[in-house]
Order: sequence, then C-alpha cells, then structure tokens
Amino acid sequence: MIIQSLCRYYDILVEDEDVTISRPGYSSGKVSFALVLSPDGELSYIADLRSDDKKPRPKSMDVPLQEVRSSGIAPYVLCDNAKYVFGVEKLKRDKFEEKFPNPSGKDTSPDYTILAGNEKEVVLVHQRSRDCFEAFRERQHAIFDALDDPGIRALLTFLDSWSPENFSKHSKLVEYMDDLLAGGNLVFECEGVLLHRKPSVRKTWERYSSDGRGDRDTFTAQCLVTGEMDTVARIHQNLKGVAGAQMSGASLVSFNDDSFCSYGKTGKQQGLNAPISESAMFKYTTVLNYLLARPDYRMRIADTTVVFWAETNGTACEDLASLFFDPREETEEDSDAAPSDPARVQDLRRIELIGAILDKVRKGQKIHTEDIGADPEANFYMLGLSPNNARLAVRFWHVDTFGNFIVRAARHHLDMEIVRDGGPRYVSMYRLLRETVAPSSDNKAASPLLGGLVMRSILNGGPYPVQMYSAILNRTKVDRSINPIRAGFIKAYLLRLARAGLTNLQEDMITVSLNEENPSVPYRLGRLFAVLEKAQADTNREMKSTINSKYFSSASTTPAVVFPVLLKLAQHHIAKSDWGFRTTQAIEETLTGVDEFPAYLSLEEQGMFMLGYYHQRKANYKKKEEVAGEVE
Amino acid sequence: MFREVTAIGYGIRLKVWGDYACFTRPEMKTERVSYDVMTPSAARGILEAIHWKPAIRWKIDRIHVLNPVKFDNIRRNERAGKIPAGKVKSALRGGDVALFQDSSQDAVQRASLVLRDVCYGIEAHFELTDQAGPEDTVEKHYNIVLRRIRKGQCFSHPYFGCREFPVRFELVEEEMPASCYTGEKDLGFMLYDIDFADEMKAIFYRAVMVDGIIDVQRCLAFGGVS
Repeated sequence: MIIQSLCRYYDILVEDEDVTISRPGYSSGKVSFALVLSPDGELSYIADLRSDDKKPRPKSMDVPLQEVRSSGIAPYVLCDNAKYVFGVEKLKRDKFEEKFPNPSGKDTSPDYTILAGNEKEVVLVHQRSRDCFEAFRERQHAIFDALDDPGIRALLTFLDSWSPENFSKHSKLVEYMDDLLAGGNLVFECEGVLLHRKPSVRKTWERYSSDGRGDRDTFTAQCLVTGEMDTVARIHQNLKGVAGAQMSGASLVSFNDDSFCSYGKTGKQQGLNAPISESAMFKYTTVLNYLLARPDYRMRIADTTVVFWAETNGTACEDLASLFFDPREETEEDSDAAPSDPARVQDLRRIELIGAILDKVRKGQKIHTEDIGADPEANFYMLGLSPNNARLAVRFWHVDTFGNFIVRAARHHLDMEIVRDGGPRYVSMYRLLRETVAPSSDNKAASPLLGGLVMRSILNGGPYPVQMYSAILNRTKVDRSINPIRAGFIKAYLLRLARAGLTNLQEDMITVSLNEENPSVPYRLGRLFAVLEKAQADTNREMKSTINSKYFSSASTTPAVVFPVLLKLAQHHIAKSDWGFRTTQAIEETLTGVDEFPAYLSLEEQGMFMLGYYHQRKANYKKKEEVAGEVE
Repeated sequence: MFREVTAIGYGIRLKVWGDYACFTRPEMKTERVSYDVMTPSAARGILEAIHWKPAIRWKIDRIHVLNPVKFDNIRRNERAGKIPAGKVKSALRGGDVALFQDSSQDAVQRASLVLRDVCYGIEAHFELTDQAGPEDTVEKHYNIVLRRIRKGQCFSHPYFGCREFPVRFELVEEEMPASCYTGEKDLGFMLYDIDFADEMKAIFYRAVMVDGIIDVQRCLAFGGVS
C-alpha cells in the first residue's frame, strides 16, 4: 500500500499546476554552472547558478533523468559533472598517489597528464576520465544526432573538438576550476536558452527515453503496484534526504545480498524479486524525493524521518500536521531546539488554532472543514523511514482520514496537559523523546525504537509504550528532578492505561493539577515527599545533600524503608522552623487514608508517586505566591 | 501449478493464531514490512505443514481476519549470505564441506515491521492432482486432515511468514468466530502465490476485505491476474 499511495499522490501532484514535480523522463538535479556555448561550438562564458549564501548551494532544476550510477561509466544527458563533460578530474593528493604509484626513475610516459596541482589536490586527465568524456560524447551523439537544432549542433561541435588537455588552456575554465571540479552538475546554454529546456530537445529525449530501452535486458512481469503487465525496473532510483542515510541516497526497494533474493532471482533478475514497473518506480521515487526535500512535509523523530501527506491539492493539511508535531512555541530556555523565526506572529496565530481545535476535541465536537482549513475526509498518510546502511527501513506506516488524525493528535496534547510554570504549552515529539536521554550524554538521540512506538500510540490513540514510560521514570529517578514534560507524559501514560482498563487506577484520579481528594496511596506519598522536602528547605536554605538527592529514588520504589526515616528527620526540621505547626498539619493531611507504607511500588504506582510529588511541588510554589500577594 | 484436476475435496475450516506474524511484502523484503493480513500462500503453507501429499493440492477459499491489524517494530541480526546449493550437493555426495553460515563479518541487522497478536480463520479445500493414484480418494485425505488437525499433528510446525513466528491452530467445527471488522476495505495488490510451473513467477491479486472476510477466489477472479 505504501508504494501504491505514493504513486497516487504523484498523480495528484502532476495534475497540480502550482507544484513543480518531475515528469516522466526527468529528475531533479543539483546544478552548479551553466556552460554558455556560441553557435559555432565555442565555450564563451560560464554562468554561476549557485545561490549567493555564505556557502553557495547548487540550484535544483528538472534535468533529463539521472539514473543511479555505481562503479561503471554511465553518462547522463545534457547535464553532468566535469569528469564526464570535460574528461578532467580532481583527486586528493594521497588518493592520487595511491592510484598512480609514481614510476619515478623510469622514463616511460605516464598514462595521465597533470594539469594543475598543489600539495593537497591534483587536477589531471587520465584514462578513466578520458573514457568518461568519450562515453558522454557518445551518448549525446546517440540521442541527438538526428535532431536539427542550433544549440544541440553547437554542443556536438564543442564535444567533438574538445580535448581534455585543453582544460587548463581555457581562461574561463581556469578561473572557475576548483568549483567546476567540485562535483556539481553542469548544464549547457546556447543563445540564452538552456539546452535541456528546449521543447524540441525535450521531445527528442522523451521519445528516446520511452522507447530507447530495447537495447538493455528487460523483463516483463505483473507489476505489484498496478497489477498490469509491464517492464520491470531492475534498479530503483535512490531516495535522498532521510537523516542519517548516505548522502547519495538510499533505497527502499533493493536486493543487494544473496539472502534478500528468493527463488533464484539474483543478478540481472533481481528486480523480479519484487516486480515493480518502470513507471510505478519512477512515480514513487520521484514523489518520495519530493516529499523528503520539503521541510513542511517532513519531520524527525529520533532516528526516523517522517514524511506525511494528504491526498488533496494544496498544503493546508500538511501545514497543520507539522504544526501538531512540532509546535514552534519559543521559550527562553529552548533556544537550540527552535531556530528564531521571523514569522512569530503567524506562529502565535497557529498556536491559537491548535488551542481552538483542542477545545473542540475536549468537548467531543466534530471537526469541520472550516476549523482546520482542509477536508477532514481526505486520506492522510504518514511514513516513517529510518536508515540502515544503504537501505531504508519502514518504521511505521499510518493511513487514516485527516480529521481522525487531527483528533488523535489533539488527544495526545490533551492527555499530556499538566500544570506548569513557563515552558512550552505543547510539547514537540523531539522534546518529548529528548527527555529519555541523559542530559550529560554526548549522543542526544533517543533509542531508535521509542520514536516509532510513541508515534504509533499517538496515531492509533492506544496506550503509550511501556518502554517510553519506564525510560521517563528512570530518568526522573536518576536525575531526581521532574519537569512538566516528564510529569505530562507520566500523566498521559497513566490516563491512557486507565482509559483502556488495563490498570485499577481511576481515570478521574489522574488530573492536570493537584487533587487533594485523591485517595491513591502512592499519590499521597508523592505529595508527602514534596511536603517533607519543603519542610527541610524551609529550615536549612543552603544544603549540599537534601532528602531529594538522597532518597527520591528509593522513596518512589520502596516507601516502607524510607518514609519512617524521613518522618523522623522531619521532626527536627519542624522543631527548628517557625512554621512547624503548618508542616505537621500538612503531613497529617496528606497522610489521611494511608494506613501503612507499602513495601514496594509497582511501575504504575511509581508514576502516581511522581505525579503526586510534581503536583504538590507546583502547589507549594503557587501557595507561596498567593501568600505573598495577600501580605502586600 | 499442476495441470490436471480430477476431484474437488471437502472444505475445512481452521482457526490459526499467534503472537507475531510477518507476511513480507516482496517490494520491502529486505527491510521487511508485512502485509496487513495473511496472504493465501501463507495460509497454504500452514495447511501443507499439517497435511500434504503429492496427490493433493490445497486451495484457499476465504481468509477471515478475526483480530485487528496491529504493527510492531523489531530488529534482528541476520546473515547476508546463503549457503550455496553447490556446497549442499557436494556434502550430499559425501564431500567434506562446512555447511553453516557463521562468520561474524557476514552479519547484517535488519529491521522488520511485523504484525502482533494475529488471529485468522482459513477456509480451504483441496483438489486431487494428476499424481493421485487409485488409493487416493477425497474422503481418505479429508479424514486424514481432520484427524491430524484435531490431534494437533503437523509435519513441520506451521509458521506465520517467518519460522520464528509459530502458529497455533484448531479446527473450527461450529460457526467461524466473528471478525472485528465491518464494511469493505481495499487492501491493494497482494501476493497470491508463486507459479512454480512458470519460472517461479509471482502472481498478485487485488485483496478486498468485506466484513473481515477476504473471498480469495472471488478477488482472484476479478483483479488483474496474469
């Protein structure tokens, strides 16, 4: 279904005139320079097409299809790098010496010519680069010989008269030498038009590419995407833009080891392991590359790159979806996660939009088109990909209507809601997962499996994964601190567990802020711990080791061992403090209903303990502010 | 697959369930992604593990999807290579070769998106092939199958797509349990089976689930099979 849906989305995008997506026979290439040719085939000028950023970036444009190139010589059409266009290559000095062990002493002429060089790099013409150039020239001839076009004739004349050794003699080329040889693509221009954009050239290329495949080994089989008999794609286009994968791209469909092939379909037949027609292959790779290249359609969860799309025109759905996963609400302590956005006003408006949608979901109202600016009935897809060497693995795959998706995402934010002071109101997936990582750790990446698991629970509205819950509990115990995100997740986890009936906790006992009526023993113990901590803090302002630093972890797991000690300790604090009677009162109040300290708290009870602790702490501070307000 | 069919057997109904299942999509078989539901060839494999003779050939009529479709991620260390067939042959001839794959360099980690807590009902029948002798009657094989299923016997332990995911099975003697699905759902093109007679070509069919039931033969009849 994944590939089918991608193909369907390609068909939608191709119809859409506002969208620039490659048509069959073309792909998006990164072009650095245009070589301007005079009508008689002279290289007259070189136009720099790169952006004028500090680090110039090549321009993306539609060029004739650039297939996957591995170790063989495979020239592209009308757009290629300098090695193919000029037959010249730049090598690092050590690589050069490794490749051509210097036969110094012998006077045989070396099979390479050095054009320029310094201690780091060498620009040279050698046998292979010459072969590349020849192949490039041959290919252009093969395709365009029959076409009578002045630009093409200029190109062919240029190629025929070119000799790789001339590279260093050309003043223009020498000027741009380093950048030209850096590996970016070059295109050709004649009389003010880029050759690969000329209608007649395009027509010739399209005709060639659609029926020029007869010279290769092809197989026909039933396509598993369309169900029709068609030519099977042997190698699939690479997919670029998945974080952590190789720069040149990785494949979703590939069979590069013996154990991946079945029924003897190896070698040239490997495409038959999963017969996908050339056209379906082109569609799904093109549209996936298109999605991966656009930040609005893409996000990162741990090591997983997620793309999402709705089966509609326009981008309203995608904008809203990305907002739900990454609410860009800027806070003072969060300068590294969200880059400063000039469109802050717009962001605030979008946060309001989320608020309005959450309100509707809370009240159980139906989401209408006007609420979200998109059709809630449209199919919505999410595909999570993670790299595994040169391959991509599907982490998760989700299909639903857009309305359902919004409701589910909103439910997640509602469940996570917790009393807080400052900090973002809506937590992005990235921040949530970061809470499972030790703050001192060099590697900030969360466990690879967690992201997918959490995402899946959000999307199907089920209980959150226990792995995530125990990771958060562990971090809370080890760091001895709980923040709104951790408390929010603990609350959301318990809430969903209670809703699914998987625990004997009551749903209404798990609240956003302090619930003094809550009879749950772990909850009360958590509150008690916060009270005792405060009693200590009130008495001794500057202390190196507090009961929090010494007892938090054990209090939340084995209360019977710790609390008698803590209560005894507290008597000292109470005796010293002017507010002692208040503390005694508070201890009595929190201990109502606690007949004995349990010997051991289960994972769920530990969560309740931490929730109680967090709530009570927040309430302590609030009360203080209120008291201060009354005095003034 | 076999050319001549001489007689059609009685239908049997089997309930199968397990903790994990992976009915790998061919296009994503390297980093495995499972189909949403069991493929007919997987169902055939389960039946063949219970009872099969050259004289009979199983045909899957209907697949009932009883549990909701749930996915889970796992990662496993596997081998990149295969033991070459030539080595096995030479071992059979008594040659002194090492028949195992255990070099640590050969390990690859592969991710899989698998199904959790699956439960299916399989409705199937068998047909006698041209290899059936005079002693092979439909009644005989039908009773063998019934007896074997009731006793929980199998030639090899049936599995859900991967050997690591064993199948538990029982004969459905009364009504088939109700599915959790209602309405119609298009599952797209799914693998039907491999045509072993024609260069092991894959055959795909358009699976449509109506009220949790995939009528395999009906889908096969209508959806683009070569």
